[in-house]
Amino acid sequence: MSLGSQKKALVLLINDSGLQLFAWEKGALDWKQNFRATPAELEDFGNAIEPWRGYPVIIVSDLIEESFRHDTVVHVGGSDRTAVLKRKLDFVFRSTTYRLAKVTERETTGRRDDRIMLSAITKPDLIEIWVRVLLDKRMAIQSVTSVAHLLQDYAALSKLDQDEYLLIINVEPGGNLRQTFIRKGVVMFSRLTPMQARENTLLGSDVLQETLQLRQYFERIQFIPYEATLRIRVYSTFDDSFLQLEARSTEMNRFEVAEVGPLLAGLDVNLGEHEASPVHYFVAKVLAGRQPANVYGPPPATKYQDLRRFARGLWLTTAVIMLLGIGVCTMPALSILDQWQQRDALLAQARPLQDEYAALSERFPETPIPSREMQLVVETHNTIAKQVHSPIDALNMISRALEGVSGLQLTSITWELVEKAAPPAANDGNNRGARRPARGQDALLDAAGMTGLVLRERTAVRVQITGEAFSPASFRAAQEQVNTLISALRENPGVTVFARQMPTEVRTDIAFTTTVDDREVRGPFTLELTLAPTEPQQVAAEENRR
Amino acid sequence: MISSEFRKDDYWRVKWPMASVALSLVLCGSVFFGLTTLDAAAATELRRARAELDEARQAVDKIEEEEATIIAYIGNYRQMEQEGIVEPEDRLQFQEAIAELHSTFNLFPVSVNFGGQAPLPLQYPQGRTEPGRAIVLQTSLVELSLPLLHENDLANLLLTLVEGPGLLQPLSCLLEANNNRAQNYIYLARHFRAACSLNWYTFQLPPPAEAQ
Repeated sequence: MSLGSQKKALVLLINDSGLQLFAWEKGALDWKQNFRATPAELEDFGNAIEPWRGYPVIIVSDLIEESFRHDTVVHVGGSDRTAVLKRKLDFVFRSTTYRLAKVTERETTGRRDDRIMLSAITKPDLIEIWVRVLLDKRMAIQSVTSVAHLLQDYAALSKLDQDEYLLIINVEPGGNLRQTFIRKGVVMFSRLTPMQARENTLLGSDVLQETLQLRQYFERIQFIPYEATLRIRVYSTFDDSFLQLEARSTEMNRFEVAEVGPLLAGLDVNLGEHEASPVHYFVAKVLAGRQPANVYGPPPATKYQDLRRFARGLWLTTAVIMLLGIGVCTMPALSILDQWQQRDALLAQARPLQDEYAALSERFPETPIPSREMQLVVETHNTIAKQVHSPIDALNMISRALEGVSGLQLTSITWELVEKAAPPAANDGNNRGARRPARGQDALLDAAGMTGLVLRERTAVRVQITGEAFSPASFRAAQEQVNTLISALRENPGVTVFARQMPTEVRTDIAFTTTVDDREVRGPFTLELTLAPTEPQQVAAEENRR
Repeated sequence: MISSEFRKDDYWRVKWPMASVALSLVLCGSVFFGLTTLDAAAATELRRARAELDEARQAVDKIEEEEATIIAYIGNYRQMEQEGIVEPEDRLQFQEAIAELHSTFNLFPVSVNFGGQAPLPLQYPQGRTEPGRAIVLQTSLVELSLPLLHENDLANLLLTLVEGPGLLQPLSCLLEANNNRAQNYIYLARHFRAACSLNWYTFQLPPPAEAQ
C-alpha cells in the first residue's frame, strides 16, 4: 500500500469470463475492452495496451481459484520469520508463485505462537497468461492483487476497519457472490461462490443462507466467538427493498445493504457495456484513495516496475544530491558575498584617504625616489662617510710627534681600518662566551666583511710604525728617544700606543743577548697605535644613530 | 515460469536517471570546488583591501613625517646624485681622475687594481609597516700602489681622491722607505713606496620602471 491516490494506471480485472481492461486517469475509471484468453485475443490485448505503455499496471483477480489458509508458527523475527513463512508457503501453495503469507496476530496462550494467514491464486496460469503479454510489451506491473485484498484497502478508506468482525459481501451481476471476512481491518478470508443457476428473486435468501453457513464455519474455526456481533455489508446492484436483508438482522448478524448504482454515480466511472457491479465500485474507490500494494506478484512479474522504481530512486538521488549540493554550497557562496561586500566597503573607505593623501602630497618637494628609500640611502651614506678616515691625518700626527725627537729613523708606516674591539659580553650564564649564529641581515653584514663593519659602525684605525733608534754610544739614549715618541703620540686624544718592540729589551722575564762594541747603538722598534673616535665624536655618532 | 532476467536494452531505460546522478555529482562537485576557490580568492582580496586601507590610513597619518623626511634628506640626496654615488660605478672616469692627478702632481707611475663589485642589500629599519623597494649597496675594492719621491705625493693623491666626488673609504695604507739608511733625500729618486686600498661605494636603486 502506498500513500496517496493512484495518478494513472492500466487496470486489468481478471475473472472467470476473461479480462476487463480499464484505464485509470485523473480520477476516472474508463472501460476500454474485454478480452478472453485465446491466442487471437491475447494478440489483440497486446495491441490494445500499446497506447498505455508508460502506465503502471494493476491486476485485480476476482477468481474462484483464490485460497486462504490459516496456521500457526513459532514466534520468530527478522529473517527467520521470512524463512518460516516461505517454508509454509512452499508446503501449502507449492504450485504457484502468486502467493502471500503474513502474520496476523499472536496467540495469547500456550507457546504464544504467531498466527499466520496464507493466501494464493492457486491457478497461476489464469494470471500469468496476461502477465506474459504485459512483460513482452515491457509494461511495469505495479500490483497483482485480488478483490479480497483490495477490500482491505476499501475497508480502511471507508472507515470500516474499526469493526471487530466485518463481512463484506459483494453480489456480482450474473450471480457470483464473494464473501470477505475482515477482522480489525485485516482481511482474513474470502471466497467466491457461483450462484448463476439461482433466480434473482431468491438472492436475498441465498445471501442470508450463505452468510449463516459461513458464520458457523467461522465459529468452528474460532474466527468469531459465538456471541459476537458480525457486521455484514452487502454490496449489490439491488437495494434492500429487493434483497430484504436488513429486516432479517439479528443481534449477532447485522446486515447493511449498499446499492452500488448510486455509489458509482458519485465516482467518475465509465463501464461501457458493463453493468455496474460492486467490484467496479471497489476498484474505483480504492484507486481514488490509494495505490494498491502488490500482494501476489512475484519478482519476475514486477521486474519492470522494480526497474522503474530504481529509475525513480535515481531521480530522487539526483534531487537529494542537488539539494545537498545547494546546502553545502550555500555557506561558501554566502561567505564569498560577505567578503566581497566587506572588500567593497574597505575600498570605499580607502579611496577618500588615498585621494586625501594624493592632495596633501602635492605640496611635497619633488623627489626622485620615495622618501623612505631616500632616507635609507642618505643615512647609509652618512654612516659610511662618518667612518672615512684619512691616513694623511695619522701621518701628520706622527710627523708632529717626531718634531722633538732626534735619532729615530722610520722605515715603514702601516695604516689600516680594523674592527673595533667589542665591549665584553654580559656573562648571563646562559651563553658563556658562546656566539649565537647570525641570522638575516646580521649574516649578510658578517659576510660583507669590512663593509659590514662599517655599516655597524664598528671600525677603528690602527697604525703600525716601524723604525730604528740610534745613539752614538748610549743604549739608554736610544731607548729614551722611542719613549719620547710614545709620549708625544699619547698626547693626541683617543690615541693608544702599544710598544710591540723596543730598541733594547728590558724585560726581566726573558733571556736577552747583546753585543757591546765601538759602533753606534742602533735598535729597531715597532709601535702600534689605535685611533678611536674622540668622546664628542662618539656622542655625535650616537645621536645620529638614534 | 516468467523469466526474471532483463533484456540487454532494458538497462537503457535507466540511462537518463543514471546520467542525471553522475551529472549532478559532477555539477555539485564542480560548483563546490569553484566556490571554494572563489572563497579563497575573495579572502585574499579582502586581506588586500584591508591592507590597502591600513596603508592609506598610515600614509595620511604619517604625511607630516614623510614631508619632514623629504625636507631633511633631499639636499643630501641631491648632493649624492651630483657626486654619482647613486649611479653605477664609472671606472673609466676614475682612471681619468688618477691620470689627471698623476699629471698634476708629477707622480711616479700609479698602479690601479679594481676588484669586482660586492652587493649588499640594505635593510629598512625594523617596525616600518610599509618599507620601500630593495636598495643595494655596491662595494668595489680599489688598490693603488706607487713609488714616492716624498710623502706629500701620497697625501696629495689620497686627499684629492677621498675628498673628491664619489664615496671612497681608505681601508689600508702602507708607506715604506726604500732605503732606510739614506740620510739625504735631496736627490731625485723613488725614496718611498706606497700601497693603499680603498672601498668604493655606490647605491644601486631599483630601475625607474618599478618606481612607485
